[in-house]
Amino acid sequence: QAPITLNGASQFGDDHPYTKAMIRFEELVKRYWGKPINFVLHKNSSLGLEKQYFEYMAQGRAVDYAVVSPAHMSTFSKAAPFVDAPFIFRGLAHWNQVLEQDLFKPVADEVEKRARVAMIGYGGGGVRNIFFAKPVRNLAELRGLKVRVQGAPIWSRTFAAIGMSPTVIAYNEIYNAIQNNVIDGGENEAAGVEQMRFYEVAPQLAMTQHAITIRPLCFSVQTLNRLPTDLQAAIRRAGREASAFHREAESGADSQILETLEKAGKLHRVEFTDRAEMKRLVDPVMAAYAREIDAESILNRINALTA
Amino acid sequence: MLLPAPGAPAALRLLNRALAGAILWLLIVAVGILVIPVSLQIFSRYTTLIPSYIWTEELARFCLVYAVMLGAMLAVREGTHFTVDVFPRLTPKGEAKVELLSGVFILLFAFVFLWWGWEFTEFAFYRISELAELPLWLIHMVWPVAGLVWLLFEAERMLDAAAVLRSPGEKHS
Amino acid sequence: MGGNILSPGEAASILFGIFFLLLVLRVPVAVSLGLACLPILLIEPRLSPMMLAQETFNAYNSFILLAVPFFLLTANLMNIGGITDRLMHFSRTLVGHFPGGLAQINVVLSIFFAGISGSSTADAASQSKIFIEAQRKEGYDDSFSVAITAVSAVLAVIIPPSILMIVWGGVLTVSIGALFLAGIVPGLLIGLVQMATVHAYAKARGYPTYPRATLGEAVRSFLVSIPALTTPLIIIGGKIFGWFTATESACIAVLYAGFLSLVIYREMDMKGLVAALADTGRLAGVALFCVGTASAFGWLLAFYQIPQALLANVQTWGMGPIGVGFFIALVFLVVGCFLDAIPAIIIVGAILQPLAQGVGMDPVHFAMIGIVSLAFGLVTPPYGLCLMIACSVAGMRIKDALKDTCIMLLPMLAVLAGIILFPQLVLFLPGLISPEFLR
Ligand code: NA
Ligand code: NA
Repeated sequence: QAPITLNGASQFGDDHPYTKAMIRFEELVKRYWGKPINFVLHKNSSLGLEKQYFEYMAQGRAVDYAVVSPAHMSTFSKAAPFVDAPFIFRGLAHWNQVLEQDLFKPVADEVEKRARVAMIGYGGGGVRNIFFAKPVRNLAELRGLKVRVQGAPIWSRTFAAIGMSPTVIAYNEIYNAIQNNVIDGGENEAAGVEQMRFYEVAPQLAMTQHAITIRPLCFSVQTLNRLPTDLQAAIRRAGREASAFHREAESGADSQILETLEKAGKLHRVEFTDRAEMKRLVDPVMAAYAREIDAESILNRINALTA
Repeated sequence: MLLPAPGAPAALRLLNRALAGAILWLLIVAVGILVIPVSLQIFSRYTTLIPSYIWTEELARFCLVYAVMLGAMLAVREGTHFTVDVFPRLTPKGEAKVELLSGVFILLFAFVFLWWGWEFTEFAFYRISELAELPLWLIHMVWPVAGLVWLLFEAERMLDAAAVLRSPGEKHS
Repeated sequence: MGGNILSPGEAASILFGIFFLLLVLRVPVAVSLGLACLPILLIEPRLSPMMLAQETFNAYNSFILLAVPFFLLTANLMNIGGITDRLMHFSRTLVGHFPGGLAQINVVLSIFFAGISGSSTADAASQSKIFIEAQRKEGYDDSFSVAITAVSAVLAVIIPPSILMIVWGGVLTVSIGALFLAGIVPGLLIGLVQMATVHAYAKARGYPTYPRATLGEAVRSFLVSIPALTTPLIIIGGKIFGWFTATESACIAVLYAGFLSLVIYREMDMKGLVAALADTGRLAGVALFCVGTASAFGWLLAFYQIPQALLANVQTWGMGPIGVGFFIALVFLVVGCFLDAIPAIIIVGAILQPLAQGVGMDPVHFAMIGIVSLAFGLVTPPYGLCLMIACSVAGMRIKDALKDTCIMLLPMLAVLAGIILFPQLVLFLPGLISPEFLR
């Protein structure tokens, strides 16, 4: 009988933390299971984008595992984008604590039930900042600026609460839109800024640290259920560990990327002085949003953490 | 004065004409609407009179999906889908033969869209779109509908072609 | 749960075998591409024909593609609303006295349009509407009109802005700014050789030349055309002042053309507007439906990693930079015959990148070789979208326009060879204006 073959997909090339995490996942599964198994990783968006990988995993077809942004799961579960919402975490320590205590388990359970896709580990760790052509240091300077946000309601609501003018523009139009002054800025983690070369048109990075990404490593439940139980256990374990590796790699790489860009004179980090005030403006919006999607208790537990 | 139409039965002809009319109007609406969300998106950046909606981008995309699928439906009736024609100029009977041959494959393609397009629609039940929060099956629904419409349109074309083959002499032009 | 049932070789022969067989049987291109996928989707347990629906949906559900119906609608409104007629008359007073004057305008206008539009599909469709009928009226051969309109439309993705450059920059991490600058010189060179080609044709075939217009005539037609002439100014101005993005500017063009037709020239009524919308929907449906099934076809090529398998041993051939450059151009020219340019970049670009890096080719140089080759693919059958559109508007068979298209492609291919041999042609401008963009 032919060995089991699993198909993975990544939007990025070998150097990106998502791809690295998936390669680590493959290595760990091989090690923990100890029997012959093949992995085919489709890189560089060759099978489409994360949203589509998720749909394929939900159908139990073509793609078996992939790192997917929670924002792309929203058609299955309205609560999914909450995992990755802005202004939830006070900092990396808080973020780590939330993940260690698995506070998003109810959301993950709902996604697994509705989409038949399991989140077998939480990667991520990119800190998102806003990039502009000119330096922006505080709330007053931020007011009224047109900033491109991700297409999920919570993003535009929180950014509007801060006084910015959130704008929805396709991801691959951001570069041009900033170059032509259609928008003033956009927001992303270091890996995205580097990948899309946003620093060429918007070299002033306002260190708002408004979000820390969570990028679950997902696995199709339909595929998983067809596998031998000892392999399922190996996959679950490898998923957790590969994602821990992913978190460490990405949160480490994050500042390294920015430092390298800054040293090359391509980017300037601009200190943002009003982060606490910004969070205060957003809190009521977040609370209302959590009520809307029945995630109040999760939000309360997150806020109650001490880190 | 109505002559008995050769080929496709009159009922099918009537049904298809009504269908094509409805599809054309939907298509006109879809293309016309296309302009609205994108205009809103632009002007909301310059005036506070127009609120900045986040669903504009998604609505525009969905209108595009509808426009493409509706346009593709009509194109089967009108025979305007792009072909790479390597045959020399054919007689009307030759044309009819080619129409019948290629029609078989269009019917097969239409069946694929109908059958698996329905599965595609089922996959969208109980799901809402990301921004406009529209029921997703409304969008996916166009696939099985396209399949069904193509079956009807192509059937008429093929029955007409068969009638040309049956007809004596070369009267048709 | 094993691996794939079909080997990459078997999958490739099914895909291409059925595709070509159905094309010969005069099955529409879009249907042939879709049906070629069908056996594979049925055979592989981990795939399903539902993916045909899924992948076509993914292709159409794209904001960037919106520019296509918008630019189409603009052209339709201009035609119906009397804008085109006035621009034609004015242009004739300007360059009508050159050999093949109207065809020269066709090329020059494409260069100009290319600076506004990033989509060759839209350019081919809109200019086919304008020029093919007009050239027919003035006695040009249909095959010549179709060919020159199609090949000049490819400039839209070579001269910035360009959808292909945005996609390439995003997928392969190349500076989009540098790509934009790099496209200017090759684009102008290709436009120039096209004008020379028109000149040669016009001399050989005696295409019409008009008597030079009097100054008064020129001024009069200019004044009448002023509101229409400001259309590109609004689009360019809007981009310079940052009022809207590339896709949005297409929507602005629609609004402005509608305004002129309804309010200024008043040649369009409700009936005309409805006709323009219907026409736009019809052509957009046909042109974009193909893109969907081509994407599904490309998705399967990627799933079996067929390009990887084909290109696995290339690195062992020991080619130098020039050899690699020609090889890359050849691969993209061939791929461009079967795939839409966007899936081609995603699927093939990433595979060829290490090859280019291996010989120390500048990423911007590599990108421009790829983009120009893929742009030529827009007029090479069987899947040559611009050529299909021009033929469809003219009511012609692709076969009958093929010879003139091939003749016109020859000098364009010479420019491509020039780009490969002299990297400075593309690297000069980015290096001059923003050297930090180059690695
Ligand atoms: Na042209
Ligand atoms: Na362009």
